[in-house]
Amino acid sequence: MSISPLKKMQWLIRRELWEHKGMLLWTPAAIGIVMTVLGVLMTIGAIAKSGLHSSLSVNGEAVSWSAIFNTRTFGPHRAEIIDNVVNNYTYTAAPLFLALGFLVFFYCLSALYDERRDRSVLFWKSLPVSDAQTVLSKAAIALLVAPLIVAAAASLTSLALLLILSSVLALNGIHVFAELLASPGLYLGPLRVFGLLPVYCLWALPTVGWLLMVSSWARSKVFLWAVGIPLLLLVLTVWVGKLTQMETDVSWIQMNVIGRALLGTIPGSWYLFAPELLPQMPALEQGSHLAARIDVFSNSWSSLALPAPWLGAAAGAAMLYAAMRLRRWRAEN
Amino acid sequence: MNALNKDSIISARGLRKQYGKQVAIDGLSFDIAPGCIVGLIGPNGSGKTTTLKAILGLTASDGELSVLGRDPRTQRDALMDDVCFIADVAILPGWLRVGDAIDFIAGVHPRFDRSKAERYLAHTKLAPKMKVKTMSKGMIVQLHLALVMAIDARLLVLDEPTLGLDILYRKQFYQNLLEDYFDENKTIIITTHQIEEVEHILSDLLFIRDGKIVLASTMEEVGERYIEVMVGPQHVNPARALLPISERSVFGKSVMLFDGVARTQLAALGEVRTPSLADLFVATMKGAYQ
Repeated sequence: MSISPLKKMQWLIRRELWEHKGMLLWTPAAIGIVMTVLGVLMTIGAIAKSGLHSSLSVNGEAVSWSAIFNTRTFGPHRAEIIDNVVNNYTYTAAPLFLALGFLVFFYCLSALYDERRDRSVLFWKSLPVSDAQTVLSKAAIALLVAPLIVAAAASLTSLALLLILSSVLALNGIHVFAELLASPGLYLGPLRVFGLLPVYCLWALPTVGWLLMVSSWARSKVFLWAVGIPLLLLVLTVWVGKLTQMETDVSWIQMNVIGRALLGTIPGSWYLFAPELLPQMPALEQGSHLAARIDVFSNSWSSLALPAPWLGAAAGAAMLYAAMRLRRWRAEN
Repeated sequence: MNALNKDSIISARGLRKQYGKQVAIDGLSFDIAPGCIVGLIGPNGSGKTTTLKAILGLTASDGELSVLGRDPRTQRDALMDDVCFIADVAILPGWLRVGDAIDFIAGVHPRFDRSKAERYLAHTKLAPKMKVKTMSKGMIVQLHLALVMAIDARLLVLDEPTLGLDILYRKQFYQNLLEDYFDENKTIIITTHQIEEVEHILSDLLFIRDGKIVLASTMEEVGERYIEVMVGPQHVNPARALLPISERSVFGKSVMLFDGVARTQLAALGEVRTPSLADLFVATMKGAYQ
């Protein structure tokens, strides 16, 4: 008569979703909807301002956009533009990815503290669920469930925005639907977003570990402890750096210890912590749309060849373990 | 000091707990046998809750301690399949719905009987969609009790379980506890200040004062050992010579409580009866706040 740990984990994750439904489900949904509505409003605004069929003035003669876009000489450019749009449209969901950073940050801060504050920890501890299982379920929400929900919202939102854009084009006589649907980028976009989840997990783990540990340890003012200690350390390192003239060593600590304790939950943080991932600067200057050609997907995955994500993940795992040990004896404040 | 008793549900030897310099429990040694309903009774700040927390592995403690053959300080996870407790009232989180609470416990607890919980809830005004934050304090306690009573635990620990409930529901609860929940394979520990409500269901008694056990006995032994006498005015002096542990006057008669004086000897002094637990408590804890 026992229940498998996997089954318990399912229920623990469900429990977290009940508790944080507003934060984990409705916030991404609301941001996605607001972005879509704004997209529609901006479109309507643009149309109202310049009329449905806006045109260019060429030699004093009005030439419609569709006339230009549909000419044969424009053909190669047209394909390039569509290609660009289709391969990069998921970036329009950037506000959602930024929101994920904040969601996960504040979720972790309250995850183990709130249950002590409202004393419900005494109820959860009366059930056959270990501290390790509880802490792992909360880490799973932060590292897997919340990113999955946001990735889904981001995919839907960016698809909706693309749809709005191509509808506007269609109203102007430029029909791109067929080409959009035929290009693999349209489908690969969301897949790439979901495919980056393991990279995100590893890079976010130190921050999640730090926040959960503080959440499990602090008797009050969790935010102050979680942010205050790193900031204090920052001030200290700046001071030591100025005194000892070892500013390069000091800035390494600032970025790789303090920065990664606080900023790791933002998707793409790896470009901040491992700037060598980005192509060389001169290459960037050559053409403006070269930046868009960096294949973020494989580039991000290549970050796992560096030692930094693994060292950070190990530190994060150690802090998760500390959070479990702390929860064992901190029944209430 | 004796070794831990392997046959006991709970066995403690020299159990100690200090908060800073404040000694909360001071070398407790006791055994609780299977199939008992034990009242752990003491004034505020006597160490009741600390003792229960040590038993439940919620607090670190010194000394030897065994619960169901395990050490709750190092083997708590394994222990929790067989132990259930209410550590305090109104600690269910506000966002929890009645239906979700049942689903969750059914999902994680191998000894939870869903139909039993639903049967208890049918006697209340609680509906599956209700959230804890919309409930009155009494309703939260009803929910918590219904959930816990549906768990077939070998050891159930109840710390002030009926606080905030009206008398109808309190009576109902203790009746359910005795008739529906309890059997010879289970052990229940209760702390409460409403002694008169539990005294009829208890089988054993532990009085605790200033972190020490001052009385550990079965209810039968209590009935034999402690005798209350309504002493007529003419017998007051001979009665006082037998050193009653307490004396009060009711309607001009002296009511004296004796510890370990033969019943036949006392019967000569006046009307003899078994003292209520509340009177025994008051007599035992005299001066506890001084």
